[in-house]
Amino acid sequence: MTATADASVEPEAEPEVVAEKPSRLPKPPLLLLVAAAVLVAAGVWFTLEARSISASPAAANTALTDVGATAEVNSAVTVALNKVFSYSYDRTDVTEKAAASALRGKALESYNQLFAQVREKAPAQKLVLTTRVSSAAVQELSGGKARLLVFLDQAATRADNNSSTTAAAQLSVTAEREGENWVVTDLVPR
Amino acid sequence: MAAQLKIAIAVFAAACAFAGWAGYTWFTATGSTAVAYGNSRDEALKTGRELVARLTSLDHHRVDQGIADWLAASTGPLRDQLGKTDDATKQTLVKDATVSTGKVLDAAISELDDHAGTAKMLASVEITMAKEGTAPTTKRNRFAAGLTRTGEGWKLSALDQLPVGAR
Repeated sequence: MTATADASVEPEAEPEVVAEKPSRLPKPPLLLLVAAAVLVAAGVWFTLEARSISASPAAANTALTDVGATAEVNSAVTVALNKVFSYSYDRTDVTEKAAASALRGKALESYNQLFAQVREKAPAQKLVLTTRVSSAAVQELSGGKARLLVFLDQAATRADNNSSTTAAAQLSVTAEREGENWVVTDLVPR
Repeated sequence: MAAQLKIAIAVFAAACAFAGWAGYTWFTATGSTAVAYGNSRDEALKTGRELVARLTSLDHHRVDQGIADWLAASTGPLRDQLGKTDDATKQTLVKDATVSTGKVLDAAISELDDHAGTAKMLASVEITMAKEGTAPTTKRNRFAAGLTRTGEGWKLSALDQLPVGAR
C-alpha cells in the first residue's frame, strides 16, 4: 500500500520540476541587461564622486598647486603695488598713471582714501614716498580671480625739513585677470 | 531571440565601458597630487591661523597654562626656545598683569613642501593688550610663521615678527 502511494506521488512531482526549470533561470539577454543596469548605476556613482572631488574648494583653488599662475599673479600684484604706492611730489603723474592702469572699482576707492592725505600734503612737504612689497602670498586662485596677503614697507622722506619715517603696512588684495594682465579690484588694510 | 541576445550583449558592453571609464576618472581624481597638495595647503592654513593666535595670546592669571598651550602648539626650534622660559620670565609675565589676545586678521601660505611636511605662512595679527587698570591697546603685527607637520598635525616651528626692512 505504501509502495504504491510513493509511486503515485513521484510521477506527479517530477513533471512539476521539469516544467519550472526554464522559468527559474532568466533568459541570457535579460541577465545581461540587469548586469548592464548595475554597471551603469556604478558608473554614475563613480562619476559623481570624481566630480565632487574636483569641485571641492581645495581642488578648485590652484594657489601654489599651479606654480606658474601663482608666481605670475604674485609678481604682477607686487609690481603694481610698488608703483601705485610710490609717490614723488614732483612726479605725481607717474603714480596717477600707474593707479589708473592697475586699479579698478573698489580698489581705486580705497586707494584714493588711503592716498588723499599724501596728495594733499605732498607739495608743501616735498614728500617722497617709496613703497616696497616685502612679502606676498597667494591665498586663493581660481577662474581668473586671486586673493593675496601682501606686506609692504614704506619710507616717507620730506625734503622740506629732511626728515624721514618708515612704516609697515599689510593689505588683503583681490586681483582679477583683465586680458593678459592682472588688475587689483580690492584693497583692504590689515 | 538571437537579435535580442545581440542587443543585450551590445548594451552590456557599452555599460562595461562606461563603468570602466567612470571608475578610472574617480581613481585618478582621488590619487591626484594636486588635490592632495591643495588639501594640505588648506589644512596648514587653517591650523596655522589657530596656532598663531594661540601663541600671540597670554592671560597673566594663567601663565603656566598659557605656556603649556604654547608648547603644545609648537615643535622644533620654536618649542625649544619656548621651553627655556624660566621662572624669572614667568614672574615678569605675572607682574605685568596683562591679558594679551591675538587675532589673525588675514593669513596666507607662501610656501608648501607637502612631501617634507613643511610650510611657510604670512599672517597679519591684531594683538589686544589689556593691562589691569588701563585702557586696552591694540597693535597690528605681521609675522612669518614656519609650520611643520608632526604626528599630531601641523605645528609651529618658527614665528618671526617682520619689522620694516626685514626680508
